[in-house]
Amino acid sequence: MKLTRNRDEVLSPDDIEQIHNTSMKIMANVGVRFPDDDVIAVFKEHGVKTDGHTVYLEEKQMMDALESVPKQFTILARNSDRNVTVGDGKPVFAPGYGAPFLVDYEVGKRAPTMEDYHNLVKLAHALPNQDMSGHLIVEPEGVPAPHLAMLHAHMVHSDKAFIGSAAGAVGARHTMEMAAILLGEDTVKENAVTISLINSLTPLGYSDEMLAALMEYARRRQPVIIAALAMCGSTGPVTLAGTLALQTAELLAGIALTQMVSPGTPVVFGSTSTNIDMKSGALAIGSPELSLMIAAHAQLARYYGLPSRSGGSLADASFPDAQAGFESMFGLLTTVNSGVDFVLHAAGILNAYLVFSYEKFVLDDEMCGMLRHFQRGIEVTPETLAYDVIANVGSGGNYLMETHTLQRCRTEFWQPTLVDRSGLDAWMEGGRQRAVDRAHERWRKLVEEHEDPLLDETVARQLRTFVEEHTS
Amino acid sequence: MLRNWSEFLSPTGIEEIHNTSMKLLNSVGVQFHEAEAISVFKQHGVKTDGSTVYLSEKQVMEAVGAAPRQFTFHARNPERNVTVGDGHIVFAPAYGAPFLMDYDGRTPNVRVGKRVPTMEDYHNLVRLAHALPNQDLIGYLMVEPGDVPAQIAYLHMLHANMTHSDKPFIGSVSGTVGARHTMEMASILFDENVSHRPVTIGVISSLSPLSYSREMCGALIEYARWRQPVLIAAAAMAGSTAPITLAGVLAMQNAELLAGITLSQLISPGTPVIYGSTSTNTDMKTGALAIGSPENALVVTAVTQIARYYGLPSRGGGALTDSHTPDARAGFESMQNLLVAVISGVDFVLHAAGILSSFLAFSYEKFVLDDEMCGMVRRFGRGIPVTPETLAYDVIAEVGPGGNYLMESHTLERCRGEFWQPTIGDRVGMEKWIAAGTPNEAIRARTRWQKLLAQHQDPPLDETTRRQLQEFVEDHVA
Repeated sequence: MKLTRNRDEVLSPDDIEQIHNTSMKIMANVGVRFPDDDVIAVFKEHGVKTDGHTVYLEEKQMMDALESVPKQFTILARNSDRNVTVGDGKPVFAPGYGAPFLVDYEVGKRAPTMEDYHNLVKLAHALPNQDMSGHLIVEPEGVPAPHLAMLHAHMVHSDKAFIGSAAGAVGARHTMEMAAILLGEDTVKENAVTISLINSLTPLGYSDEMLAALMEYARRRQPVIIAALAMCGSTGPVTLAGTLALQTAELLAGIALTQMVSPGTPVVFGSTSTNIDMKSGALAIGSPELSLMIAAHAQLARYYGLPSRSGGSLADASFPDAQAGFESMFGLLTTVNSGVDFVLHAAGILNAYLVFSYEKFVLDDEMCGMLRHFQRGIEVTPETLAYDVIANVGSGGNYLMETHTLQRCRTEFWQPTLVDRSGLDAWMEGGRQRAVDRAHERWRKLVEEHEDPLLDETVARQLRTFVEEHTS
Repeated sequence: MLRNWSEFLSPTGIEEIHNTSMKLLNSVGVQFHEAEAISVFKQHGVKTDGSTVYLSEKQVMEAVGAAPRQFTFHARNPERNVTVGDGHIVFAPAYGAPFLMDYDGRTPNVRVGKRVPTMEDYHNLVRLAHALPNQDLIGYLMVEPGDVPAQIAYLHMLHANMTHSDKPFIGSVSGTVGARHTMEMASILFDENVSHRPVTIGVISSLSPLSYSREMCGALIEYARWRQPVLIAAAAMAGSTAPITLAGVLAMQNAELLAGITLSQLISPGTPVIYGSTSTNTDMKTGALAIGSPENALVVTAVTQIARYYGLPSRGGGALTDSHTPDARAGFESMQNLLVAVISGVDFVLHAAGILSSFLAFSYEKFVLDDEMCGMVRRFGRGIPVTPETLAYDVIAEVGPGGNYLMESHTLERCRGEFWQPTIGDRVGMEKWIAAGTPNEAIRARTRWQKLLAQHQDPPLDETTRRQLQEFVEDHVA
């Protein structure tokens, strides 16, 4: 069904102009720091003014660079039915990324193990609404060369597209070499086979590690998400408009770099910026301010003609309770309504990115399904208006046994997997299960039932060998 | 305010829905099971046949044109007056739940699960509605108290509304008598004949498909005579009391609602009305109402657009869930519906707080939780101010690459007021949460409602008025 809806907008055209002008002024006069000599060389080659590691882009240079950014692109998966297109008007959902801790319902908070990591990839594979299996779903502890172990897990347990490592030049290079083993050298040369998250260092900079990864991927024309996580009041101005202007400058500078290295490299304009909680000093990702930033950022992306990344099922809560539910839905619904193209953290996150939860992974995936359905909108045709049926049933009648109803009753509405609609009495009798209880049962079952998709023996062996050789 | 409203229907789509409704009104008609209603229609030249009324497009659009785009509820305390239809959303508590769900916490000897509400609960809920910062109205019938006779319960509830709070209240729709007594008590409360300004509203439900009950007709007519606002609302179930397709639901209920609105305007042109709906899908496996569904959210947004097309204030949405306990699902379903209401530009939200179990149950904990959500979505609705001050170029230039904003005066001047602060929401982080005994959101909600109740004080009410209200109730329960 064709999407007929509009997008949420929180900024007026004039607001956007003001933000844009401020960003251009920041870029040209305050500059952005790129502590990498190769990067500075690239900017210099393109006539951009530099001073040490600080780069000053003019508006024209910036806007010219943006022209080569593709409006949409496709990431190939091992299984071509699972290829992922970014920028076609439908959001791509990918799991939570980067949480240092794990929470499971029985044990509580702990450091994740590699066994956990295998479970999480299996879940990412099984969950119907996760379009990619992800990367760095959690940071597994006590694992040498974790990026290799993780990449291997993704390639072996799932045939969905995976996210790449941004652990410096080495992480990027290893990602591409393993992708070449998995998919073939030629495929990897001609196509996007992954996407990686390059974070800026707000305010107005990048780390050398991220830049090294960016350069590797850009040279190979592999997609990158350039994303800011600014904290309003700390690493960004306390005002949302100020942070938007600030981060837009640093993000666009990073995007310009990718296009100067390799014009046409797919990039995604990303933000997960939000306010800090003024009482606790902690990041507040379940806040209404985050949702405002998501909507505004998506509008700015459209203004610049760039695919966007933002949002997700984001919560500050420490447990998958009501707060986690409503905070996550606030973020995810805003994300989807704002037309965000790529949604990392679509499932699993608690405690302001610090914790990943097995139960929340499953709960959030259900929400992703609900909102996908919501996005389809309402079809208005003579068939759906059903005048004849209404006239036939008349006043005081019933529609249950109408052919019109019977023909559609299986397919018309969203079908819940986790959400239980048996009545109040049945629930009371059935042990008064909470959503988190049902989620627990479900993830255990999905992990148990998992089977690795078939992988050619040679490829499997080569991947194992690669990991072994590069781990030592 | 948000810069735009969420819109899912194209202009053509709305036209087609409108045209289908006009055809239904003209050819199929709507039944009004009340002789007086039929009589009013007849007097105004509307074609009737028994209890069925057939309206022309012209008759309907004239009525729609007469109803105001916005109106103000007058509260006992003028500072608490509430305007509907001015672009700012209005929140009112849940309405009509037959049961209460006590939260299943881990405190021993605490009542758990489903039970029948009492008048004492009703008093508590009015006190809570008064205390909760985001509930603009006191509401009415938050629960149906089971320990007073059904025929006179409304008198006790109205009395509670009028004495525990000075926020505007919703009226009784127990037929003509319920409405009249509401107005007579209101006249005592305001010490004037209140037929010249809105002091309450009657929630008039249609009976899908395509009819109105005698009781609702009676209440509608009485309120219209007093020129009090009426919220005309459909609660159709797609696949059961309405077509299974959402476009069909919208077209059918539109016909019902417009017929009811027309009646109100024929009786008293210019009486404020709100165009409302809580229609949703039937879960086809269980046959149950599914109010936490994405389909419900779609209806909310469509109803708002259609109301806007007619130039009428809209009602829809709420913190709606099919969950039986305030868990994660209750959170995400409720937020889905409430947020969609706000971004669609709904004017009036009944059930903004307190609902569980597909309207069957009210929960004290959820009341408090939902009020927190109302605050959040309101904040979202206020948007992002973009000015030279907020863009803060000079501050950014000064802090520069790699600096920090915490100690800037720009930050310090604003840090207390800039961001929304949760009341029960927890941002302390996992360690502190575990150290506190892992209190989940519902447990924190319970602590809060208990505190609010303990702190409640009835707003001052002059002795004469208090006595007269008391006497009115006593006279009429006998």
